[in-house]
Amino acid sequence: MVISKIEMSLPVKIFIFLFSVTLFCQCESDDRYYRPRMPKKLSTLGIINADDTTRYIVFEKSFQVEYPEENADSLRDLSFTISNSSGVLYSFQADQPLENQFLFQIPDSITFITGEKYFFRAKERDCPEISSEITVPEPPSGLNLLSIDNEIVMNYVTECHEVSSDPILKVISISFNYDKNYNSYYALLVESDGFIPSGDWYSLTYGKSYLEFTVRETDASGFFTIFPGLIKYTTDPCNDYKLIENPAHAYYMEFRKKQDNKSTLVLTSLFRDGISVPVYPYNYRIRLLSIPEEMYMFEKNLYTYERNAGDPFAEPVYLKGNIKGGYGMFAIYRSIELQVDAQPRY
Amino acid sequence: MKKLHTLFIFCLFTTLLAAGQTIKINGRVYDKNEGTIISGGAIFLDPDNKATTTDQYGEYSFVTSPGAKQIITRVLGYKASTIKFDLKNDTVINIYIQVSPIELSEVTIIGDSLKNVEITSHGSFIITPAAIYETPKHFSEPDLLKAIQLLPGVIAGKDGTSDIYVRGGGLGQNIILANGCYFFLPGHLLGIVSPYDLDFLESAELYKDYFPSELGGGASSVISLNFKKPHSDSLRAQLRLGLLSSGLIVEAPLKKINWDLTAGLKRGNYSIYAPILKKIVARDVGDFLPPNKYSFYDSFIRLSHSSPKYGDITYLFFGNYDKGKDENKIKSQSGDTLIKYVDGISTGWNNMVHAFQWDPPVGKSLKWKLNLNYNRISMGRKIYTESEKFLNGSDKIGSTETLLSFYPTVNNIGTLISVGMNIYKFSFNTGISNRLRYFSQNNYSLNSIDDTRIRNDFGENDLVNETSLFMSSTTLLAKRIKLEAGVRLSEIITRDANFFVTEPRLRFSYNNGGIVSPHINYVRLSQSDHAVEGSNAGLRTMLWLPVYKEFGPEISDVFSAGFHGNIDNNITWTLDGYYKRISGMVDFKPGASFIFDTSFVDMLDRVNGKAYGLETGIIRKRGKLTGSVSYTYSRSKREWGSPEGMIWIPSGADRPHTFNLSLKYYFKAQTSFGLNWVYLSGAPATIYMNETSYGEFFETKNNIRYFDYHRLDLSFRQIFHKRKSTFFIDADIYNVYNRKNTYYFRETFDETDGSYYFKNISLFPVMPSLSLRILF
Repeated sequence: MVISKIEMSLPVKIFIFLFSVTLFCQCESDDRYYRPRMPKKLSTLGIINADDTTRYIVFEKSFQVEYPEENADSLRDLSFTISNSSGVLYSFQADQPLENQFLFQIPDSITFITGEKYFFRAKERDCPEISSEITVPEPPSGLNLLSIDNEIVMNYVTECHEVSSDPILKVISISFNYDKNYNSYYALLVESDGFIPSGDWYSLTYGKSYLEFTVRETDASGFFTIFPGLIKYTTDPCNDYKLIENPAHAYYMEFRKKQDNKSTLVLTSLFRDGISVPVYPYNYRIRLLSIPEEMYMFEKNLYTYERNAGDPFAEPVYLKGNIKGGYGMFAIYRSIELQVDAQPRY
Repeated sequence: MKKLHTLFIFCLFTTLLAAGQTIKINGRVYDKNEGTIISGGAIFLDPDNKATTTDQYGEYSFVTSPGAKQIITRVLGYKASTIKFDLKNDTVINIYIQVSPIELSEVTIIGDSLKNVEITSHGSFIITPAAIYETPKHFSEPDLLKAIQLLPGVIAGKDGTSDIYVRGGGLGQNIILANGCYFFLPGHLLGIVSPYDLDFLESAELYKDYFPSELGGGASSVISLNFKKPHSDSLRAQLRLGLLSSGLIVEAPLKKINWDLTAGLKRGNYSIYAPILKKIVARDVGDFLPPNKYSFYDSFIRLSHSSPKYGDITYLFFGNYDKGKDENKIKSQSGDTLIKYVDGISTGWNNMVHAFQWDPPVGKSLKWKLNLNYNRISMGRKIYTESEKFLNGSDKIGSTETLLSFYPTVNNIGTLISVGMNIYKFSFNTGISNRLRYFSQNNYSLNSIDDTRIRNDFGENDLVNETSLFMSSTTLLAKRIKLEAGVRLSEIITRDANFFVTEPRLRFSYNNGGIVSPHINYVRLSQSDHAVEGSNAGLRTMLWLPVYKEFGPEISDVFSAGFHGNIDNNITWTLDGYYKRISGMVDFKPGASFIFDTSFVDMLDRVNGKAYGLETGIIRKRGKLTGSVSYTYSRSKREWGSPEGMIWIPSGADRPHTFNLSLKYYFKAQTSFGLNWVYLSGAPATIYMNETSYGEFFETKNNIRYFDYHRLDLSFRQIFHKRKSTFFIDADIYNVYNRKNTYYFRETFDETDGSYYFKNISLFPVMPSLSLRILF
């Protein structure tokens, strides 16, 4: 067999090179990228008020598909402890599988002391152990009412109903103190007692609900976001004023060192608009929470995450909590309350 | 104290070793039209009063000392030409002269002294337009930064953009220097076009290995621009018509007053065809294209004078404008109520540089230099919605408005005085520079309902002054062993803090002019302006901020060692390894918000970084086939505060393997073919990895990599001469085999298996383009 040497000119060599590279590179399909399967992690949202009974911890496992089939009993052998430097204060061991987003109420009998550090640990059969530590902040102080007024809202336009009389905007001015030697973080909630529709608009019962409110004036930087675990009611005027449960919103505030040591806020809340509940508020309970920095930062990240959802231009939000080995946040906070009579109520 | 002591000994050591320096200039003389070498040509070197002739290969050489030089070329049948330059190191200068097709007596030099990228003895790269024109270009646009992306040690940013990462540093750690003025600019069209048009430039030099101490301000690299100067004694102009931009350059020697003027203007063409383009491309891609009403301009004016009486005087103006706007207006009627709604986004930036440089004719042994410059950059982004309700079409009954306005501006006044001298085997340069900068923030958010307005301003105006004293020396310790040493001492004064930075620089090199010349290098680089990179999936965002009390200067310590050499007269090569520690970089805090944070200090975190790598390249400079091959191994890490503590994560520059092949083949002197093939490991990116009922999580930023990047580009150039004009036609094909290189991942839900995947969005498919350049 005779093999003859083929002389190739440079352009032919270049063509062969390009052709080969083209063929090689076209072999790959790169339209889709799937996330690598990550091990599930335990997530917790633990929010404990040292001063009242709002004390709960929610557990769930992270997932990568929309809803895991094992949703109904996805937490197995769940256990957790809360301790301080003296030892374990509370421990829990589940003796049966629990639903995802399992909510646990922490007993009122446990005392949490300002300045003391508390430790949280939890374990689930298929997830790595998680842990966290938190220091209880100082309680808020000096919450005072400065004024309360009514403003009538003219030309109020609604989608599904006509208002018989103009809605009223309750304008509440308050102040409170904080220590200017430290960075401090607060959350504000407004709750009200009054008549709530029970089944339909014409059968009202006495009850309470957290309120939708706005901050008209403030000297603090802050934001509104959901306060986990608390309920706010509204009615749906497009659906026979059916009562709807919504998560309550809190206004989170941040004060840096060397700012003034007193803050003033003007809050507004609407009623008689056909949506807000209670329909006729009897009083307003303004609840000021002194929260740890970890909780403030986590809620801020959560707020930013919700705001940026669906925006491809936004910076990815790192939901950094204080849970080692998993996700979420464990916090203990202090609170005080100011009750304001809602006169006039109508 | 110990550091100062060491520094003193170090400086003393370099001074005592003063012994002298010789520099070699060599090159060839070519006929521009034919590409043939010219032998027997007379070459004169001034002010040395030396003369030589080109040999049978058209080559010449001189041995001389550093300083201002000029080479005069006289060849029978050609008009004499003069090239002036500032000689610092061994240099190759190829001279191209052209015979007019009409009159033999009229000769033009198409001033391309180097036909390829040159590596200097201190490891910097010199790029000339001629080195780039014949290689493939994106959209046929002659872009300096995209040319730099092909060099060893340089990593390209997002596909199609002119972003560069140098030796694992940040995007904003690469500083531009022109006529002594330091500045930094974002790109046009969201980074696709850099403002550094090669048509505007005579040459550019990238410093990334050894930095003479007069250079400062960039913690990764300094790119020194030399703007275009006249190349003939008559008025000349260049017109370029391209797809993305068109430009005009005029060279006007003002003989009567002995001044030279060059000026250029470039205008973006995108707005002409953007509406059609968006209809053609897929929606995924169209969403990422800049707004339809997008315009940009670049311009420069260079005015120079050279005489024995006044020395060399140069004034430079460089101006840039970039603005895009998208707005939607909706009117609707509901009963007797008219509702007007407007939402929009506008984005852009503008910049101007005024730089004056004077080299006075003080004496032969001393060389003085004076710089005075001013520059101003203003960024802009505005996102707004407005809604108004009118009863019966005229009575306003309500309005709402939201506005996020982001308009930071940096004003800079710079001065420099330096003096250099050359003694036998020793050269020394010292001076003082000052940069006074005013950072004006102008950032706020506004929420308005009827007459109630809530305005949140963030950022404070800041004044920063930076004074630097520098000393550098070059000493020939033995016949072939050279020591370059220097120190730069800077004091930065801010509103509430002072910083003092010492930047020692040291390089030992052995240069025998042969195949292997080793060198070892240590430099400390500081940067007192922070550039903060956004890590969002789509658009790049960049913020420039001053040093604050909480965020001092960024400092890089770079150790490197390697070899370079000449395989023969046509081929040079380089191999370097480096290790870099970076401190004081700033990054966005997780969850940082322009709307709710009250100052940049609230939004930023101080982070440290480290980088290491290996870079090598071979350049063939002469012959029918020229080009370069380079490979870079680059790892770059940043600190990340996880709940478990500080860990190292990949930075945007962490792309382990980069391979560049760039070839030019001359069929004839006027016809050439170019090829680029580029391969990079996938870029780090951030995606949400796990979900819970209340949110999605990722463990760290840059937790995945995009697909590996590669593409092939081809180019073809044809040159025509007609009457007194020369026509350059450039045809380019970008991404020949239509590789779907990732611009970003879009999260998409797959209905069939109930899970999310990330759709690979690629912006630049195979793209042919054409441009015409006319010299007349």
